[in-house]
Amino acid sequence: MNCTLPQDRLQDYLDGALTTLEAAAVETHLRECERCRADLASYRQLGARARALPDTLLPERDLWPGVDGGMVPRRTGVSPWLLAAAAIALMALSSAATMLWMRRNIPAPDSLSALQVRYTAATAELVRRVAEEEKRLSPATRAIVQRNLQIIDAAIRESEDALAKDPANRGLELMLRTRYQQRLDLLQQVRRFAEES
Amino acid sequence: MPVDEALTDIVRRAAAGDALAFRAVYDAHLGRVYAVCLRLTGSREEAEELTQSVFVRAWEKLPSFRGDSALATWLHRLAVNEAMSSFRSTARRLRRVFNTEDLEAIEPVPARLAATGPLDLERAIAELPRGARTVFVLHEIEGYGHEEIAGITGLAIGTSKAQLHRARRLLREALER
Repeated sequence: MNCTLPQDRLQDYLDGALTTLEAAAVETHLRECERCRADLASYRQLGARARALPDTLLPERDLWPGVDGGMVPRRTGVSPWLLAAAAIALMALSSAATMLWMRRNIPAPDSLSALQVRYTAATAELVRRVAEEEKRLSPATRAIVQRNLQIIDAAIRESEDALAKDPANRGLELMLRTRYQQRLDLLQQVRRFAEES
Repeated sequence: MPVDEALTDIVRRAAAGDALAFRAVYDAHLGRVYAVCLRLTGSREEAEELTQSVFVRAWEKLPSFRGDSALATWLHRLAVNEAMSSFRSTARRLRRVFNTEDLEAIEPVPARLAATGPLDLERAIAELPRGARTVFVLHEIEGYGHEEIAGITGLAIGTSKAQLHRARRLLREALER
């Protein structure tokens, strides 16, 4: 048949922008017109593909120096250590950051117990040294360290429990790896800070 | 400390001027902000510059962030507004230099995304004319309605719809090539 339906009308139908009467007329036309049915399916598919695009993309270069250079300092009474702890805590809690990490690092699958063994081995010496050197820190700083460790530990426990229930879940495994790394980073910062104190 | 409280605390520190806390905010939200900048501009170089501007602006405006919406939503809207402001500024310059209102006729064909391999949707979107790309990204990817898009871009609602229709037609043609 000769199709007389304008493409704009078909797209208005797709977007739900027609009155009931107008939509009914388009539906009648669609029953008869194979080309418009194909067009509509194609537009729907395009929308679905667009909505399925990833929410996050990473730049190819480090943009932070340009941001940092444009930031006019504001006065703050907060200690540098507290800032570092805050930054790490946010990283530990941010699923967005986890997703970024996941996109960058796709390691081979590993079992929960193997992950735990490797993490414990990697941190054993660091944990011992931090326990010794932490004494040099002020009580207020120690409290902040403890608070941030508790936050990360809670996140680790949550991921370990979830992974124990669903061992094949690759996303959970990657999230757990990230959280282990974040705890390691925090401990290393504590050690560095204690050495400088 | 509960997770929500900890996050609020960090945003509050960043708003109070803690550069490291702001760095944490940047790390957490970079991917989302860059994605919307890249799709709106269709150019890596422009998106990188725009992303940096968005975060510098966020640093400046964070003290006025009241927490009425999620920080991610606030940053996303800031990114869209920065992009529109950049587009308007470019348009003014082009009108002045070329003494024309038909900006599409003089819109440069940008380097866009890497032009290797089969044409994918990201690349096809990047290659749309600016007006069609903006409306398609805001409507189809970011989920804005035409009224909101009109408010953001300054276009009439009818023009927004027409640009969306045009974008879909062009994308179909490009992807079927």
